[in-house]
Amino acid sequence: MLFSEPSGGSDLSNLRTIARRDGDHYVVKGHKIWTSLAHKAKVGVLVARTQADLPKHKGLSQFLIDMDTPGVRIRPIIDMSGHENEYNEVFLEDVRIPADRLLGKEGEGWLLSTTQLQTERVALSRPGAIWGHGPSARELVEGLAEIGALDDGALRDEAADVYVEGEILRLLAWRSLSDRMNARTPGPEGAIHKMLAAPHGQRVVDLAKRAQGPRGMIAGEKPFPSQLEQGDDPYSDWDYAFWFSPAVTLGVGTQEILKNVVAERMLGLPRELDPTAQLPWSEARRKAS
Amino acid sequence: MDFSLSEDNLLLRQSARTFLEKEISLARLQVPGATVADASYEANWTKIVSMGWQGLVIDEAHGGLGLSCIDLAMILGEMGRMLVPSPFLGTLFGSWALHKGGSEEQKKTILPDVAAGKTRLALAVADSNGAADGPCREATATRHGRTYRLTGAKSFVIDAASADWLVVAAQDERAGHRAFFLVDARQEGVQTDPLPWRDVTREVCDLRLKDAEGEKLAADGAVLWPWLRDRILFALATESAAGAQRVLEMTTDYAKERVAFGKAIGSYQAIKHSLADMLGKAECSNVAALYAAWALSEEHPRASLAAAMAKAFACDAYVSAAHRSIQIFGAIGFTWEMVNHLYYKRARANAELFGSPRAQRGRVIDMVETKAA
Repeated sequence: MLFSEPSGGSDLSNLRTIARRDGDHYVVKGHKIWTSLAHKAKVGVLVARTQADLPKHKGLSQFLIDMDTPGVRIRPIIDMSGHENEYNEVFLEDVRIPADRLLGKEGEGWLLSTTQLQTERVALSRPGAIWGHGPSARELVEGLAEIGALDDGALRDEAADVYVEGEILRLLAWRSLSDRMNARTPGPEGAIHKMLAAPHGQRVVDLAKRAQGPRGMIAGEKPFPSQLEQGDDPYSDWDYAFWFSPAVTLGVGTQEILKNVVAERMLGLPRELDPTAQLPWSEARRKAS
Repeated sequence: MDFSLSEDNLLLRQSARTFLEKEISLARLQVPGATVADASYEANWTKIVSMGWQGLVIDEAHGGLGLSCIDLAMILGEMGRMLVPSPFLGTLFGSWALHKGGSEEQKKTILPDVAAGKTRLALAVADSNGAADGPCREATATRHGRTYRLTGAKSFVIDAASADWLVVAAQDERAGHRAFFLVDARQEGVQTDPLPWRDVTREVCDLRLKDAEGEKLAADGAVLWPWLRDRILFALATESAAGAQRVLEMTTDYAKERVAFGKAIGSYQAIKHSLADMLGKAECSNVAALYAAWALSEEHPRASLAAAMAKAFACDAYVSAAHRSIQIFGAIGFTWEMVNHLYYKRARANAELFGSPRAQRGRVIDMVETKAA
């Protein structure tokens, strides 16, 4: 998914990558960032601006882009965990995309992107600490019991609190599922679930880490000897999950943006005014610079 | 399980809400210095009886409606939402105790009158330090022919002063363990003293017993209490979840109306984010309480765990929402004339009664560990 750009993640619709129509092709010029698995993908979904003279949400379109097209350059981003890269920067230098690779119609890019983000948030609602993957609070409590950490009263209470939160988030995810199966209209519950699940996941891996004491600062040290990693899930490594965990309140909507979404869409609180929302994008851009 | 409420559940809840919004007012409690004596306990009870809610959990054979904990949650939640002051909770706890623990004779004597709205109950289990799990350190029962004589004290008895009959936990001297006794509240030797309880929407009393006559319930106390405790925790969790939801709604409405520096305070992220957090916790409380309701209705193996989790989470969420609400209303929210403090006090009382959130978390982790071992 080639969405975010260096100039702004939360203000996604302000993106600067331009796709200019040229005969039966679009010519794309721009710079994407935080593209997960770009170095392994064959095809990407790209959001780019097709009309700069419309307000920022309206001039966007989506394309399917072959990642080996000339002009696509991928640079890995090594995050603070030091783990093999998951994310990349993608530089797009006069990349020619056939016009029939446009997704939907020109100008529908924003609508498609928000729908995809909502779905992505719902897909994160599994119980694992890192966006639904990796260890859950249940494994945390099992692990803490195994190493005798639950004998500490303060830690025991904290573990119980995290456990209760984890169980309730499972129930919340099931309820969303029930609502769907009963054909109730899905609300922005993906946002509320992620708003709750991301900090919960951070608590899970943080408590495991703290239970290790100074040993937790040793790279790759396992907190719970008997818990095995699952081959296909890199986050099942507690140490990696912990050092990766600051990202879960950033990616797929920062915690602050999600709280705005929840407060505005679910509680009907006044929307934050964006002074650039109604201006033609090119004019807003000129004013800002 | 199906996590969505049925149409019947929703209808029941809506009809309760419509009725209570029309009939119940907290106005008399919003006068500075008001006590539970101003809470319209009696008048509200008459209204509740007109709806038949006092018989919700009593089985049909004894004149009640025999409804499930999920149905009860619909009504109890609405009462918690409005802080309805009434002897409903005491009667509910007493009815549960008799339903599960009473002999057929005891049930026949008491429950039909409760279902008919003629008799009210209360359940006395806690010592003066609040401990409810026994053994009883402050009340003893000694055998006297077919009945028992109870002497000592009980504390934190909800709705005791309104009750006609009490179910009292006392140490059975001869057996050496705790048992439950049915005690006529109107006899000499039973003295109820309402406490100067901060939550003025609820009557909470001390109880003094001096050679009071009591009849032992048929069930073994060690069997009855865990069953009863699960339901009590579920009831307090249900009230608390609904109260937190109401506090959220009230505070959100206020944040939309109140203007500062030219715009509604709800447009500032400091307020917005606080309310988003409150919504998150209210949703979690609600789903936890409903899960407990379902688990209890099904006598599910996880019912005890579910009830303890719901009590722990919903009570914490209610306290924090009610406290936050006072802050968001600003100084006016700190005055007696507003309802904010009534919610905050109910929230705190619910949190402390029958085992604090921390105590419940202790039970949760014990249960999880035992299962894992």
